[in-house]
This record gives sequence, structure tokens and C-alpha cells, in this order.
Amino acid sequence: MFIALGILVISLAIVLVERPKLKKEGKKLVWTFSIFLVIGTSLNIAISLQTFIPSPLDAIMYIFHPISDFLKEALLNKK
Amino acid sequence: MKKQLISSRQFTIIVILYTAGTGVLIIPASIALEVQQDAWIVAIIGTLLSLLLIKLFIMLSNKMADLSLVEVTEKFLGKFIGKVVSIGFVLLALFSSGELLYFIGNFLQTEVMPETPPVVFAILFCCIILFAAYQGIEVFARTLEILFPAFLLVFIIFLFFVSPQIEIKHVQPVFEVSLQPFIYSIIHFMGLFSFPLIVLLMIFPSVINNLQSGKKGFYIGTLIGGFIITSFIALSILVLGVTNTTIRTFPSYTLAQKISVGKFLQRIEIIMAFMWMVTIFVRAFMYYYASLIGISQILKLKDHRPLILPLGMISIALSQIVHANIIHSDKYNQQTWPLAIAVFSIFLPILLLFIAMFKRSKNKKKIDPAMNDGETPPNASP
Repeated sequence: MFIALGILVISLAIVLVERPKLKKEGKKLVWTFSIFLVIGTSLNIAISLQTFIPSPLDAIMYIFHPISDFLKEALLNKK
Repeated sequence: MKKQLISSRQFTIIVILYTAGTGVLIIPASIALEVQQDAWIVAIIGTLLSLLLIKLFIMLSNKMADLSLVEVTEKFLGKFIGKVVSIGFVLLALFSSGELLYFIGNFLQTEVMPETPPVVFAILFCCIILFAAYQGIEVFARTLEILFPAFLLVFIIFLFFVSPQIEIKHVQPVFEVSLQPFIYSIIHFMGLFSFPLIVLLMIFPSVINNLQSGKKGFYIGTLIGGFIITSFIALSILVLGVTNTTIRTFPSYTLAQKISVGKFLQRIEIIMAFMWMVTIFVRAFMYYYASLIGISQILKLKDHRPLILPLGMISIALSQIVHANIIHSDKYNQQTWPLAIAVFSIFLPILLLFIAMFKRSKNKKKIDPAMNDGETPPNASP
């Protein structure tokens, strides 16, 4: 719980640090910044609460598994 | 923002450390598992084949003028498809930077500080990368100019101190392996060694001040990086033997533990670990920087600096979730990663080159007044 609070404090600090720069730039940067910050903070909090998050690499492995399995069977003679 | 430039020598150093990268840590064990004692031949052939790949990259970079890979993709493939391809590239780079933070955390936890959770190393390492990203590519390149002589010194000391323990009988018989596993492990080797060089095309033609010698530096850097990685693979097999190499997670670290000069100079492996720190730093930074620049170019932002800290948080989070364990990591790096990065490092450059050729011939037709093949321009009809 304390770790989650700490992560929230860190993300607030990031907002405070970057605020002067964000004010100068356009709306697009503010949106991108906040979306990334929300994703980062929520991921970190989810990890600190030890919830199960599937690895994003599993999706890449799933996309390529027909080719990689074929290569492995054909060239390495292994299942 | 002022445009930052790096010299061709700095670029060569980046290429050397980048190609040596993660390879020295994770390649020897898995390649020795596939082709046993012939792993060093795989490394040599893989390095030579990589030069062809560099030729492809340089042909592409001639068409790129002052743009980066993401901008060129968008220019050649059109707005929508170009953006989708670029987002795929940027995501892969971001995942890889998280993966490298996982590697450094895993390595330090397994070998050096077993009771510290790996997230601590990931956070500390990420802080350095974020600081480097704040300073920009120019300061990063100058830092490497300072670090590179130290790297070379440590590497040469390593070579000298390990080589007395070489036993030639470990590599005999030579050429024992059949052709199929050989091809497979060449793909695997190049997937970790030279396919990721496509990430350097985010900075290659646009921030180099002397392009001609920069191109030469690309080849030379790859050759030297290949030599470093080949010597690590060859030494692991020559000193430790095949069985001992395959069962270790980090054979090159075990190799450094073996150093013993006159039973006096021993256990200096943590000094040797400096090499892995530097090379992993370079690789993690390049992935991170490529994804940062890529995002800001996809969205056409003027300043990418405010995005550094949020992206850093994401990559620390990614370092905790990308791999559940070392088996998952091995499987991914052996089977999936070479294919995933090959999409961007082989198919994408070839596709872009074809489109560039096609576009040029089309432009010539338009300019040439003698050619009068169509009365209406192609986009005139509703």
C-alpha cells in the first residue's frame, strides 16, 4: 500500500517538474504526456499490489509462433 | 531545440558497443546448446553476413536524406500504413528497453547481490538512461568516448588473463555439426547481433556530421563488435567446455571468475562486469531513445523532453512484467525475437527501397515532357 502511495507521489512530482514546459507547448503534448503518465503509474501500482499482468511479449510470441515452431522443427529437429 | 550532431568516430563507438550489447551476456550459452563446440564458427559467419545487412541499411540511408526511419516510413508508405508500421517499431523498441532493464536486474541479482530485488537495479539503471536522454544524443556519444578506452582496457586484460587456461581439445572435433542447426543458430545469432542495428537508423543519417566516414564507421564498428562477441563465445567454449557453457546462465561471467594469475590476482570478475554494464547501457539507451524519438515523430511533437519521465516509468514497469522467468526469456530471445526484429530490419528496408525506386521512376515520367502517356493526371477523376 505504501509503495503504491509512493508511486503516486512520484508521478505527482513528475507533473510538477514538467508543468512549466507543458504550459508552453500545445495541447497534443499535454495529452500524450498525461496518457503515458497514467499508463506508467497504473502499471507500476498494479505491480506493487502484485496483481497478475500478462507479458506484452506473449502477444508477439503468439503472432510469430507458427513460423518459429516451423523453423524449430525443420532446422533443429526438436518439438 | 538546437539540432545535435555527433562525429563519425563517436558513431563507430556507438556501433561497437551496441552490437556487443546483450550478446556477450546471453548468446554463448544458447548457441553452444544448439551447435556445441562449433559456436565460434557461427559467430564468425554471422558477423560476415551482417556486413551484407549493413550494406542494405546504408542503401536505405542514402534514400533517407535528413529523415529518421519513422519519418521515412511515413513518407513512403503513406500516412495510415506508415503510422501503423512505425507504432509497431516503437512498441518493439520500448519493450526491448524494458527487457534490457530486466536483463541487468536479473544478471546482478543472480551473480552479484542475491538478496536485492531486481527492481532496484532496474530503477537505478533507468535513472542513468533517463538522465542521458535528457542530455541528448550528443552528450551520450561524448560519454561513450570516455568509457570506450576503459572498456577496451578491461577487455584486453580479460583476454590476456583468460587465455592461459585455453584447452584446444574443447573445440575438437571441428565442423561436427550438421547444416540445419547451423543455419538456425546463425539466424539466432544475427537476430541478437546485427538485426537490432536497424534501431540505429533512427539516428544514423540525420545526426552524423560527416556521412561518408560515418558509413565506413558502420562497417568497422560491426566488424569490431563481431570480433568482441566472437572472442567471448570462443573463450567460453575453449576454457569452460561445451557442457559447462550450456548449463550456465551467464557463461562469460563464469569465465571472468576463472581468472587466476599466480594464485594471487583472483576474483576480479566484478571489474570485468564493467564491460557488461557499459554495453547494456548503450543498448538500453538506444532502444529507449529510439522509442522516445519515434513517438515524438509519429505525433509530430516539437519537444520530446517532457515525455522522458513518463516513458521511464513505463519501461521500469515493463522490466517487471516482460519476462516471468529466465525460461520465458530464453524462449523469447531464441525463437521469437529474431523473427520479430527481422520484419523491421529486413522486410521493411527492402520494401522502402522498392517504393523509393518506384517513386523515382514515376517522378521522372512526370517531369519528362516527351513522355505523353496519359492525358489526365492519375488523381483527377473523382
